[in-house]
Amino acid sequence: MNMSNKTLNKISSFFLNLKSQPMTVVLFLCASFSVIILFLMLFFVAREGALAFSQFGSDLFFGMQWDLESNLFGGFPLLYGSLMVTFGALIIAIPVGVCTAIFVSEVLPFYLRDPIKSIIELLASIPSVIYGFIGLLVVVPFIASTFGIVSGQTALTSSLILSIMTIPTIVSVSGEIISAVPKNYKEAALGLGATKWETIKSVVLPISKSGILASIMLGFGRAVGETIAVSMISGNQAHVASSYLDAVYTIPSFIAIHMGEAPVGSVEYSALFGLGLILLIITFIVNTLADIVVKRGVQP
Amino acid sequence: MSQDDKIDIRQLNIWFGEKHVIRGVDLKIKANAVTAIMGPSGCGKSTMLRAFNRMNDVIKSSKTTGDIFIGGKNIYDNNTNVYDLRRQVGMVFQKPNPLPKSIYENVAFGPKIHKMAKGKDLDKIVEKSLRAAALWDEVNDRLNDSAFDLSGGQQQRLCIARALAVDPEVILMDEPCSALDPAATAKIEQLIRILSTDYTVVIVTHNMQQASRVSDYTVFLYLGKVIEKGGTKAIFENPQHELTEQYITGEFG
Ligand SMILES: Nc1ncnc2c1ncn2[C@@H]1O[C@H](COP(=O)(O)OP(=O)(O)O)[C@@H](O)[C@H]1O
Ligand SMILES: [Mg+2]
Repeated sequence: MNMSNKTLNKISSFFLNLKSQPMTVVLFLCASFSVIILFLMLFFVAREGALAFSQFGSDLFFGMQWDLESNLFGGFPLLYGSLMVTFGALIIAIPVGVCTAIFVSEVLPFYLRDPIKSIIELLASIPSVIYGFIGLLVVVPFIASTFGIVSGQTALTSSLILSIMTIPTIVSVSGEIISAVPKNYKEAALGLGATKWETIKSVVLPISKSGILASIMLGFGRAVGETIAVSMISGNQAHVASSYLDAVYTIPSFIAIHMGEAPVGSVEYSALFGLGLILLIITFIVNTLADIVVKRGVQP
Repeated sequence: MSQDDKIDIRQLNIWFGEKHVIRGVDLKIKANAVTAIMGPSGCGKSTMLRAFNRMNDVIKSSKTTGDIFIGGKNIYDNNTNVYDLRRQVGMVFQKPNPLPKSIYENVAFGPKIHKMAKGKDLDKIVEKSLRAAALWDEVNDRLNDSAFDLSGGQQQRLCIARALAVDPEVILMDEPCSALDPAATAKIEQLIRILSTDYTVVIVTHNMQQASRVSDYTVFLYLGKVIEKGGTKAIFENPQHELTEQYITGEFG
């Protein structure tokens, strides 16, 4: 009670102070803008999905079948496909991305750092449909022949391409963080006779770990929401895949492919929005978890 | 080189890129004594100090010529192991810079990477070093707390303890009190006096009172050259060189 009164006081005095500080007002409005947009997005997606949620409830999460004829709208195979593909992508992208970031910002000679960083950032700006092409052209046949399977459009294929799309994000964000570690902390370890690697392990990584985690979250967001590239190479089969060599369907691809033919206002239309809402909820949960971990990890 | 000289610097020159920062320094530093290097800001005090444990190697644009003998061994020899050198020649920096670890792990870090001890023996080294840095009584009940929870003065003594833990022969201090309040400064100065019985201490300072309080010998550096050197008392009471006199009377600085 006491606490909340204090908080209220703080908030009201903040608003009272706004009058005398025009610059603060401008900044406040800008900040509010993104918060408002966020809530509007949530609101619209939830509103359109409400019909499906009221009819099918948790079936949208856990139902196994998506069948218009039988009026079944189970999203579990899609949710499973999305998480599977994203998980696979991160398993590859996290170690490769973090190691690359360390290499670029700590090991590479100075004159090579900026050029290499630019090239990596260029990778991040390639449109995803191009990644889809490369996936179809190179990775799909490669997977098919390597594992001797009929179709190379698999969860593994998608994870591989997604990891390549995610790595630049992880590298450029954690690279910035790693380069920002103050010199005097590195010298603490070096001055005791630590090698470069000991210094990276004992100083650089602990100090930058929350930033690295943030970069991984951005990567997660990119991977879980990626639509076009994945829909071209994942095989698009709504079943619970038993291995990474199976075809999968992800939520974004499924929505993109079915949205066009779903009559506005129909149950199917609403159910697709419901899937979208599930996707949003997942990213919120992951981001919040990351925030908590980051806050805990600020002080080593 | 006489028996009681610990560091012998011969024709030391250091550049950063085109900038000639240390210009032909010849200097001997006595063992088991405190030597203060003083001089105006930017004259090369830190650069010279960082030559003694080859920390300038870390800066890509730096170039060093000349020789520095520590305990009779030329540390700029090609076959010098810099990691081992930095164990023998500890360094305390201007701003307290604890590692992002617990108090215990900060002190244990050096002995661990040099594989000097583990388990009970390591505990003993940690306690001994913290005692030697006059910090043990303040932290012995919270060794597992983060080093960042300590006050600035405590952090700086932790950095001293950390340097002592690897059993060095020389301790370099670069303006170790410049970020501290007077009470914390007094503690560190007292500690420096005590350390000089077992270690060769070289301290950079541009605080003249500090130099006169803690050091046995003083070197006056100006634009990368040694202008004057000698017993601290003699330098402060009877400077031979005009520049030294101007500096200690506060005419420039
Ligand atoms: N990393 C560096 N790169 C380039 N110049 C440097 C670097 N470090 C120091 N210098 C230059 O060398 C000179 C001496 O610096 P420093 O040894 O830090 O002086 P002091 O410690 O006496 O204040 C200064 O002119 C400074 O600008
Ligand atoms: Mg300095």
